[in-house]
Amino acid sequence: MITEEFTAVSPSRRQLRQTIVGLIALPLSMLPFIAYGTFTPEGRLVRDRAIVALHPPKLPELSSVQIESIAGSAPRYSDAVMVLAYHGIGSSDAEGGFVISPERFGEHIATLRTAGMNDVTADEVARAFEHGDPLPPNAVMITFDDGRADAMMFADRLLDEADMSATMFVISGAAEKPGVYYASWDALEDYSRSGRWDIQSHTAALHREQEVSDGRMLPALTSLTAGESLEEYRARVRSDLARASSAIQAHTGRRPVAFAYPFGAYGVDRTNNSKIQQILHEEVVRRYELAFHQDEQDSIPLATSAQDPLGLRRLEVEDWSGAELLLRIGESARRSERARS
Amino acid sequence: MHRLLRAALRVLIVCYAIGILGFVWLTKDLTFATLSRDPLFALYSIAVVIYVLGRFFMSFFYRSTPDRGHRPSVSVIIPAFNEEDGIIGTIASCLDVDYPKDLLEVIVVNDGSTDDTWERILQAKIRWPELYAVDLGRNYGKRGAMAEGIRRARGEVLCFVDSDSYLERDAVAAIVQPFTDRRVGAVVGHAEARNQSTNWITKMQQVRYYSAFRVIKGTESMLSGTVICASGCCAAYRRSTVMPILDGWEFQKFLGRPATFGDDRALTNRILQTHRVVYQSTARAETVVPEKLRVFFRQQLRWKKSWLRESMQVLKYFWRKNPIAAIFTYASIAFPFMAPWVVVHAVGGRFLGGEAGGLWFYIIGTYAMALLYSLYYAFKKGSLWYHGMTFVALYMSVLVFQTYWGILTMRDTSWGTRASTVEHASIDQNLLTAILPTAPRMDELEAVRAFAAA
Repeated sequence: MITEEFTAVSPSRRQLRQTIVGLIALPLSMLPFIAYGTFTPEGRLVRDRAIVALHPPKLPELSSVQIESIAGSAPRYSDAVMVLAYHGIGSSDAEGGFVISPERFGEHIATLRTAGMNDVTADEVARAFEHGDPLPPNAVMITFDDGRADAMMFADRLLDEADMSATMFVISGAAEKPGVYYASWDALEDYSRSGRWDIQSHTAALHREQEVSDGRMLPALTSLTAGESLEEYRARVRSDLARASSAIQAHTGRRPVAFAYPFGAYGVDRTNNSKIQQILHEEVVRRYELAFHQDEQDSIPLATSAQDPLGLRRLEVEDWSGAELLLRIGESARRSERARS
Repeated sequence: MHRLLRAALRVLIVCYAIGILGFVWLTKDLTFATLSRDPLFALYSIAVVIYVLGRFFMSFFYRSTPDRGHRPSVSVIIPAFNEEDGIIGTIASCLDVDYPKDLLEVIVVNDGSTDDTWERILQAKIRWPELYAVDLGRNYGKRGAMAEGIRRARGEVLCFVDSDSYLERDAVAAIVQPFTDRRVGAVVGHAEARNQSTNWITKMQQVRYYSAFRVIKGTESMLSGTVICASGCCAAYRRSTVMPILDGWEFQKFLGRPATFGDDRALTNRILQTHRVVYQSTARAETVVPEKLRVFFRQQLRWKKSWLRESMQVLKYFWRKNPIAAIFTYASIAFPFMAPWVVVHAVGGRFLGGEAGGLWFYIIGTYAMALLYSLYYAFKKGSLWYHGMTFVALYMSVLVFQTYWGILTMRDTSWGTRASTVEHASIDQNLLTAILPTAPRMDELEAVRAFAAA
């Protein structure tokens, strides 16, 4: 009555064959997850979360040889701060470049601690520069830009283990619009409460480039839009910085004292009006005691009270070994020494 | 060798499923983070995940009713329309079941077939004189044929079998067991695709059938017997529960038009208002599923339309049922209305600019859910499992839009797979031929033979 389809193949053979196909299909069916975790930004974040959950980043165990060599090359200075700038940690390259692995960051942290460097917060630096409060010797300020979720997720565990703290310059507008790349205020509040993170300002919504009248793309903080007067520009910057500061104060309970210029642009270049630098300086000084950029990476000195507190320079940390990081800090320390003498 | 492979596959599947659940857990913050920015999308994602996982979780606790020797009299009713190829097989499977012969009657009702169905039925009648063969003389629609079968049935339990379905030998004994509970008004059996190895379309439906019955009907059954649809391919009703509502069901109208499909759903819906409807996984049947995509889509549209029609009733009374069942049911009614918008939103957000609605997130989320369904099948059956994802892909790209298409074409009540549209009419007994299930005398048999020959 009803004819079987595969009369040529016995049912058990067919079952076996189908089971084998089923087994082969199993790993193949994982490909979309892998693609999602590799090619999409939010997928990479999910993958990073999985990595942190399954294999939490740990500080590396340094060998006695390494410890000795670190001790030997450890920079020694006082009344000055080495300011390090990090961007992303993990695997996300959404912002393009400046992403280092959690292992690398762990190596940096372990090296800094072993070298006897002391982490300081923006408040401590501001008090020291303004009122002459003492800074610990070999002070280092570990800063991050943008408030990226992946960076905080990885760095937090390592900072906790090393008992160190870092400064995060958040784009308050991005934190308000909870998305994928940026940590939300909920997360930032938790981080702030942990004492490991010092939340500072990176504008509310001016961390972007805009097209100006001659067609160039320039940072929104240091350029006039088509038809914008300098007064309008001043009002725009003022209200943005006010917004950023009040958001940070509302969520962390602390007034931000430090500011990082988006893209490191503070008006000397990447601008379309020569008066912008002055206006921006006036607006930043109204709210902040310290401001950082990262120009001229070849000649970064230590930050001291002798410099313009609104033009402090940071060393952009790349994928260096711990030893190389110490070497760079040592160079900066020597540079400052020469400048002082 | 095969056993070993199966065992290995099962271990892998469990690990894999745990991995997927871990993935879902990791994405939860992501979803919650989009709640304020994109409430429709986030709520839909959260609700669907809870819905799917909840169903799976509960389905693990489903147990069938064991055979306690309950043997009521049973009438198996087979409505047939243009089924010349399969009807004898169906009749044979119904008569061959392990059930006391004196307690079983099989009624086949020919609904004015235009092919040789009636001739085939007569051939079967020669082979099995105990068959009750009815020819309506003209086409009334499946509902009319079922109703006539019900009126002629003597059994305490009425068991419906579609003319393209086949019962396992122990199916009737299994399907009557839940009726020992007086609250139970109907029982649905477990159906799988008979032609599952034909092509990818039937394989996909096999996976779909399996999980739809095991997971969805299984959980509905556990929640105080709230199976919403006792599928026509294998379902049993308590006769005393059906008789009072028979007329209303037979001549049901919707939007001023006779309701010509979704007969199973409509009947269940009426029973469910006063009784329990349970699923009996041990009452197994096989049914022939569409082998062509066009036919499959039409069948799905028909089911969607009857789902739309009956859901309006369900909305009215289901809150009185088991609260968890009610939540699941209302959610299952809301999802198909939301789903097309979510698809458009996810795709549109990506390609039409603006804030991305998370197309990749949506695709991977759907994929994860599809994979869970498929792995469930793989765990239980071992093979063909990946075809479950074909179904979900098809559902998400085409079938999801049938909800609104169904609303727009609601007044078109043609079957799509069955070339007949009929107005309701009472069965005209003058046109009807009924050959009773008595052992026929020789002359009767001769007459039947002569007719069959002609």
